[in-house]
Amino acid sequence: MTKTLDKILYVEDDPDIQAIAVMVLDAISGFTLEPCSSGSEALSKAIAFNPDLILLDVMMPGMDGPETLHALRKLPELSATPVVFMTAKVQPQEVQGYLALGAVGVIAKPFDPMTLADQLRDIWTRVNN
Amino acid sequence: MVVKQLQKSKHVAWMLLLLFILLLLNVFISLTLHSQSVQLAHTAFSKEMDDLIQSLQLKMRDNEQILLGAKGLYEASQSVERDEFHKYITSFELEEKYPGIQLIGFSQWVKPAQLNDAIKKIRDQGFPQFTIRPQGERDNYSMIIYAEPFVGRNLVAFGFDMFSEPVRRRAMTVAVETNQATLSSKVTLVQENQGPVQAGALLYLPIYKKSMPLSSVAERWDALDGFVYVAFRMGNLMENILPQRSKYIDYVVYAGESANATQELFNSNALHPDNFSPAFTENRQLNLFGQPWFLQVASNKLFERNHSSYVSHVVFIIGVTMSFMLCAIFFVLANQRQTALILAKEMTANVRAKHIQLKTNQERFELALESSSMGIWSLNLSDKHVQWDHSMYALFGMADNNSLSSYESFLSLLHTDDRQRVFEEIANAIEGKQGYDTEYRILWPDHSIHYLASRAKIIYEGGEATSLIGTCWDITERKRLDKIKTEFVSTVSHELRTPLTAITGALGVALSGVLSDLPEKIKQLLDIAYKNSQRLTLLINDLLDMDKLLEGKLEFHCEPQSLKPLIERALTENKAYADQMQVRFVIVPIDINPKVNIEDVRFLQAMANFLSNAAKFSKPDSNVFISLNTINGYARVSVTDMGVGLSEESKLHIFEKFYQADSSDSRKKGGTGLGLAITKEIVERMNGRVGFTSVIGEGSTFYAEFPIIT
Repeated sequence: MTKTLDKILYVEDDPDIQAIAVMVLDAISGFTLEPCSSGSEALSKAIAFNPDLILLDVMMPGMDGPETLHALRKLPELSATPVVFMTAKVQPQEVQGYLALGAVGVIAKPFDPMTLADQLRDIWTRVNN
Repeated sequence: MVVKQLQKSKHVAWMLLLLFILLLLNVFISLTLHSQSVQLAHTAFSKEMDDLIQSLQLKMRDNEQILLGAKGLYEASQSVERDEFHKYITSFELEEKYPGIQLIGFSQWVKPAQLNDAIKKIRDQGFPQFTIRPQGERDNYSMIIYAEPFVGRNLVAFGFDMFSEPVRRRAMTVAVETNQATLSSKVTLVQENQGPVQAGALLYLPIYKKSMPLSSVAERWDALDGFVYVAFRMGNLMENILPQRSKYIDYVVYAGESANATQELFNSNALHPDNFSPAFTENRQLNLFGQPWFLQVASNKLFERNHSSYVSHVVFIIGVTMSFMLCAIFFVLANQRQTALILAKEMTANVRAKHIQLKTNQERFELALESSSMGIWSLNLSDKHVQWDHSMYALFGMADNNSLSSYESFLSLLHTDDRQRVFEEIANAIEGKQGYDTEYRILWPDHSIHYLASRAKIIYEGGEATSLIGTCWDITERKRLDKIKTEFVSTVSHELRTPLTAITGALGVALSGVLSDLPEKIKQLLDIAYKNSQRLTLLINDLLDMDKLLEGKLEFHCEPQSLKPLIERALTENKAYADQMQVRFVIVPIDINPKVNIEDVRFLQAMANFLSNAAKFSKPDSNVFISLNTINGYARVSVTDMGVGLSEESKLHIFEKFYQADSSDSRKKGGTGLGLAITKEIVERMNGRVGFTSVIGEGSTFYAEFPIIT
């Protein structure tokens, strides 16, 4: 029996999207969410929060998604934590590129808020199996 | 054509001139030949005549010789008796050897006082009837006492006084006066008493008594004893003595110095009378023993038959024939040559025109190259020598005088990341594996990076690749603009999507009702906002898709697969939209399952466009039919609606970008106007085709078809 998905480190620079995601994931779906507005904030909070899964926006000012992923992987505590990208760039080759970087899934923007939680649970289940 | 005509008439003129000259030459040669043959004939004729004259002279000389012989006889003897004379003459065998001679005789000169004694003397010799004729008193008498051969008609001469007859007398007188054998003029011999009368002549030689002075004419008259003479009939003389002479020539002999008919001695023509006009005639005067003779000589038929030459005629006829043939040959040859010349001229003109055109083209080409800053390069495959025009140096940021010569130095100018790739591409091009059409970066001497595009063609000589010739142009600016555009599109799409994500997300959460129940009117408004935010998302997706399709950035991962399950999946995925539009997707029973080489995701995208369009433009509560069939090796998926159909105008533009069947309609139906354009692009990128049929007011059928894999 695998661990149920609970703690999600969510990195999203856009506050509105972040608010909606937090609302559907935290308030409605009951996940424990640690929202960050940038890659560097995520790096500083990650070890302390010790997430089950990291949800990472690709295009961000400063460190973008792949750079953040790269930096997180350097932290021993987070070297194996599954990472899911959220992005508007979902051409097949782009998706392949993210997966090659080490992501376990890609969620297309704009996302459907009502199915976001289910999409994450699906990925979680797939990864743990 | 006109030139040809002109040339031809020029030819005819030349040919006629040639013909004229040849004919002239021919006439000249023929005339020369003719005149030569005439001359030859004339020479022959002259010889005939000379022979005739010589024969006559010889004959007369023979006569003289006989008379001189007789004179000798007289001089040797005391007196010549009848027997002696007879013997002497008989020894000549006159009839056989001198057939022209009628008579040789001796006429005794008698003074009137001795006449009776002389007559008596002859009578005593056994001729009692002998007397002198004619009778009568005369100053002098001559009396023929010997006449040999003393037979036949010659007997008539016996006793005839020739001196009594003027013609004879004259000759006899001259003979004494000149003391020479003398020929008489024309006479009629006394023997001519039977048969046809012939002209005659006599040759006299005086005989003198011995031991008497003879130095003066008077002394000779005193000493005169008589005359030995020869009488001949001219007819006999000529015909019998000279028969061969009359073979080729006709002639008339006159006594005297002219052609006096009364003096005609002999006419050979009398034996060959006709109206023949001779080719040659000649007159000749000769003097025979004091007697002038006049000869008229003419060539006869036989002569002309023998001597007239047909060579000149034959030559003329052959010459004329040959002239015409030569001219014909000349004409044919000249025409052939002319045709060849005209052809050559045409070809030369052609080549010249082409040369000029080529030069013009080259100039234009160079101008185009210069104005486009396009460079030309070549690579010799045998020695790897590289040649650049001056534009190439400019493209590489180098001065013209930098001479780049080796392939390696060219490669060294390329960006390190592109060097190996370009090297391989060139190698592949040389091997003929693929064309050379590439882009690469170069480093200028000032270390700035420039983008160049290049294309090349392999030059083959004798089936072997010998060199590579290519063009090169700067695409740095294009690359810069491409990058800006890509960044712009990427930015726009991201910048648009971010707020859109927030809006859609927020509306989605609100409408889900998980937070609280919403009043119906608010819910309705939020619903509108939510739908439009979704539409906006699709619109942005379409724009991005189109952009990528046109840029060729969209990669297609085609693989052989069956169409039937994909069609079913497309219907399932689009059913929600159909429900929303209140139409039903009806699949026409499919009993085939062709395989085609496509990418499933892209195919579904194309199908979604067809299906959503069909649903959008159908009347509510109607059917949309989906069918699959094969046509000419293609598998065709058709989507048929029973909607409004397309106007003629729409049919022309339906697959164009941003085209919407009706702008007012678009308000109602929505859409970017990119759906069908994207579909067309996608299908064509997968080697397929799109098409449609439509009847306004009845509906439309849109289809996509792909080659079936066998």
